[in-house]
Amino acid sequence: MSQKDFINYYKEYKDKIYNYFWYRVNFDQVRAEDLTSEVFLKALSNFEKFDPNGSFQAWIYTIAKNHFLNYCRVAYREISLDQAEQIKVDNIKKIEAGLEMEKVVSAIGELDDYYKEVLLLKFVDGLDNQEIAEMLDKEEGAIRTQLSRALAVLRSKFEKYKYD
Amino acid sequence: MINIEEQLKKLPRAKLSRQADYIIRLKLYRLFWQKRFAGQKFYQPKFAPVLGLFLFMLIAVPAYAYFNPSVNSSHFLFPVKTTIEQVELGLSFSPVAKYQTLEKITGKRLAELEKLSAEPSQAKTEAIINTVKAAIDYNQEADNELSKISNIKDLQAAKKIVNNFKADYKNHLEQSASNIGVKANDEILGNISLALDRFSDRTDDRLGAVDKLWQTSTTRKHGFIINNNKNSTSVEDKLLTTENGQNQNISETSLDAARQQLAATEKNINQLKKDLPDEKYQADDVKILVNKLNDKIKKARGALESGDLKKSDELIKTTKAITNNARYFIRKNKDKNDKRNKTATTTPDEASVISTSTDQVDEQVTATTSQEKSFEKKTDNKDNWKKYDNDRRD
Repeated sequence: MSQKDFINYYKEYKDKIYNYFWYRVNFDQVRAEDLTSEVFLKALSNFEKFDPNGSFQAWIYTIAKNHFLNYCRVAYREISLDQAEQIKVDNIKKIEAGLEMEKVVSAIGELDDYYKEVLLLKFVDGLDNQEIAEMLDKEEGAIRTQLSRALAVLRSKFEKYKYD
Repeated sequence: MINIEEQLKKLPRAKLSRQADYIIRLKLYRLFWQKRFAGQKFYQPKFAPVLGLFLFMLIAVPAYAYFNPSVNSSHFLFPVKTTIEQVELGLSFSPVAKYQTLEKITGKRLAELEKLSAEPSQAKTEAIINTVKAAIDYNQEADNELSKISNIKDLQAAKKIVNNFKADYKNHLEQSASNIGVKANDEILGNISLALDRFSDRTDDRLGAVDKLWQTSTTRKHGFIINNNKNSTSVEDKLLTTENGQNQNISETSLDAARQQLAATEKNINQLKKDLPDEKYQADDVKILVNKLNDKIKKARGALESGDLKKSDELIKTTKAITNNARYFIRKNKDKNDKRNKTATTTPDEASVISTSTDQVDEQVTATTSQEKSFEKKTDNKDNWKKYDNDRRD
């Protein structure tokens, strides 16, 4: 695998990885860019470990997930939950996605982390069930179940918003 | 009922900004280079000796080329040497600095000449001639720079430089002339003699010129050192005037001047014969040189009669220069360390010509002894030397 191959992968996945972090750092652009940069540098450092017969998408998302977990461990120490919530609210307003979409985003934010992760990977990042299973180290069937449960919870939350 | 899956698919997608994209690419390329070179290829300990050798060569080769007088115009490292000299010249900004650098380069050429002449051979003829000519050219350039110097402090510095180089120049040239000897190619003799004239007498002129500049610095006119040349009675200078059409009768005047110079040179040659006593200088060397000078005079006369003033002027100039500096080329009787007999020739044909000629000269010297002092009257001897010269030229 050459330098050219890596650059091609970078071109293909830079927006997806950025988007992955954007949703997970409460739509903070600067932080998402930093994390994207760090993930690709980490990927390049270990590029020789990547199996060309495997999926680059699964590999880079796994790196992104692990990097994000490391980031959270440090970030939660530095910032209080209240502050994090305030940042999240501010950033959601900034994305100007419309009132309806804002509700969807807020509803997703209220989900349990596990449901939230599965939903984002499926609908925002566009990964299929098998890739999600590989990434989260679960069975594909378990992912399917989690997805339908997450959707059900989200639907109920959304119905609740509607009546409120 | 809301289709929640449709809503989720419509969630906004962000794109990495262009600025962030460039920064990430830059970081990635930097990491590529680090991965490629750091610790993997060049920095591996096993390459350290090669790298060290390469660095050493990078420093040592130019240093060797620059400082070693063995690196002359026929040496493959000579372009390296001249390049360094040109850089040095380029870095000399003031006229004094430039003057000093040019004098230094002249000194280097003369040192190369001495080294070349230590073991002269037919193969080195061209290198010797080129080196002398280069030395004269650099010195001419130095003269031009000297004429640009205007303030008193710089003039003092220039005077010191002239003094520093004067002795070196003279030593190199005298040693070269002594190494080469009278049997050398006519062109080499002529060029070295011209250089000797320039670097011994003219150095004094230049020293005087610097003094004059020093004394009259407030009212000096630029370029008077070059103007010294304008006083020359050289036929060539007068020819240039003729070409400019400034004087219609100058051609006749030039011929007269050339004839006068020719006569004066002949007189000098005759005086030379008297000035080189047999007990001090080797008689055969004196004889060879005088024959050469006479041959040149004959050629100059021929050129003059055929109206080729330029050629006759050149011949007269070199004859005059050789006459002036004859003592440096002729071996002295007590000089036992002379290597010239071993190294004057290289090819077997040439060696045989020289040895035959020298034997004949020796025989004639023995035969004539003190009764015949005028060598040019001996036509058979003259013919031998003409043959020798022709063979050498061939």
